[in-house]
Amino acid sequence: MGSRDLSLYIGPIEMGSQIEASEGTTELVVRETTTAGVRYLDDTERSPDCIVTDHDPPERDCFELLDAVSPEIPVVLAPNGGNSSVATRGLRAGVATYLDPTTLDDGPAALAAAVDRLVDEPPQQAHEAGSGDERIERFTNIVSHELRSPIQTAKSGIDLAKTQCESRYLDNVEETIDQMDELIDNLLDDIKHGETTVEIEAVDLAVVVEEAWPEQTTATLSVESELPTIEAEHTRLRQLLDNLFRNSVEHGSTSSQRENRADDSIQHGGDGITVRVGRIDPPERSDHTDSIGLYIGDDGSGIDPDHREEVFEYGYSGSTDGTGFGLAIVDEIVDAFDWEIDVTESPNGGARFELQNIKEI
Amino acid sequence: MTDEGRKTVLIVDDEEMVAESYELYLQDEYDTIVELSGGAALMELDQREVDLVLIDRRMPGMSGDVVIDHIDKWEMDFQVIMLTAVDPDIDIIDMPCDGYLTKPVSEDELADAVERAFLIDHYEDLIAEYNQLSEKYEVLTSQFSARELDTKKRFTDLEARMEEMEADIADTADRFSDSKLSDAFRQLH
Repeated sequence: MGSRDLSLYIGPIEMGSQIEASEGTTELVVRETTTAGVRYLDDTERSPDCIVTDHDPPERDCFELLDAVSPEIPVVLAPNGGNSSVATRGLRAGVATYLDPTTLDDGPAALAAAVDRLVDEPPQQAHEAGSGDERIERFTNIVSHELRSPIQTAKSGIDLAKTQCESRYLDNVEETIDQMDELIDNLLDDIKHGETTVEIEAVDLAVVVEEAWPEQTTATLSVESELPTIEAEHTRLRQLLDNLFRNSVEHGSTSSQRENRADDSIQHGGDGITVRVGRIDPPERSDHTDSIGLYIGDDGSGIDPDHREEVFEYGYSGSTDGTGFGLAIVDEIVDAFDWEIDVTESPNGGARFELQNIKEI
Repeated sequence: MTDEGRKTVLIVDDEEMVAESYELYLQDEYDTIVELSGGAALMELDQREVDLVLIDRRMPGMSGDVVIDHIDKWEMDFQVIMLTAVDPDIDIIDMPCDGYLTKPVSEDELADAVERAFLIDHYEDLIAEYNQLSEKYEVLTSQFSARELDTKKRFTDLEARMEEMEADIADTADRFSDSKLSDAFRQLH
């Protein structure tokens, strides 16, 4: 008969004894501290088939242990009173199973069962290959959880609050949360697929312009020509226009601020700004007669010619409260649609963004 | 208070506000029970009959995965919808659940998913019953001549019931909002 499987438990001796007393089929070595556990792993000639660790034994915590453990050994993180942050961090660090024994009727038995299961069927090691794709996948999983969970909480709170009172502010917040959700989806999509994948459809440009125009603004939208139906993806087109409008409305400036132009290429402001949107027809002798252009121009202080290339770079912002994401995302979407974008000065002195190579339907 | 004939949904999410909002979305159509941990959900399932479990995948303590593994091992007969903030991975193939939703979910998305799970449950019940009747039909038609069977009322009742069920099965398949699913069920049928 062969030897029994071996597991290592790191945490309070009493819990270790209880796990051992449960009907687990593996032999259990118990060490009270992470330091002692790591020492055991260094000294032993027989590596355990599974490790169970409390999160916070004296001296060092489980995350230090995880750094020291070979990725082939499955680890059960069993914190004595955990929370979602510890769970997420543990899973991020590669633990195979997370179980908080204090939330279970019979925690030690559940841990013994988890050990048996992992010893019988060791999980595929996520960090074994460590390829770029796997790292990206793990990263996006963590990011999506950390961002989408609070969005769900916020949406839930709004819906519950609406049962108790009516307020247009709740509607505004809800709309903002929905936009954040959409943005996160798009960003995660970008990260996962390396490039933006789009589903081209027929989109009524006039409708999307209306949708994307911010509600709470004193700025004026002027649509200067009839806007056609074009080939694009509705969600991303709305995001593109939303970002361009936001740039004009929030970062456009009144003429009184023009003297600051040299220090701040995209000025702050808002009041009195007019944003003009219109179609650009192709030149008569152009090869691209089936495509049109679109301009979005404002009468703010414009963008300094020296900074026009940089405004589409991630992280670049002409203001202290800008994220430097807005126009970079615009550029990504333009690439994904196979369009072109250029920034110039509008006839009214502000910034003018020109989108080209748009297919009209 | 439980209305007779209404289905019961057990909602499991460690975020109390989120669980309460799901209850809000569903309470007009279903009876609801809320539990805030996997362990408490299993205790509830041990004591009460539910028709559907709506469970968060990632919870501190006992995760949704562990809970639905228990449900699977205990061979409990109800629908399970997993909710998670993480995009589904290939591992959901092995997951013993009938639906999978990615957070955040809206009221409509949640209500649709629950309705769809119940429709699938109903469809499976219909198919199981139809197969039973069909077996009996095959045995009887091989044993007796058509003329003999035509004189037996219980056999004609069986034929009528099978026809009725065929219509019900086709109608149920049509009610799936996803046309691919409708087509698939119609082909199966």
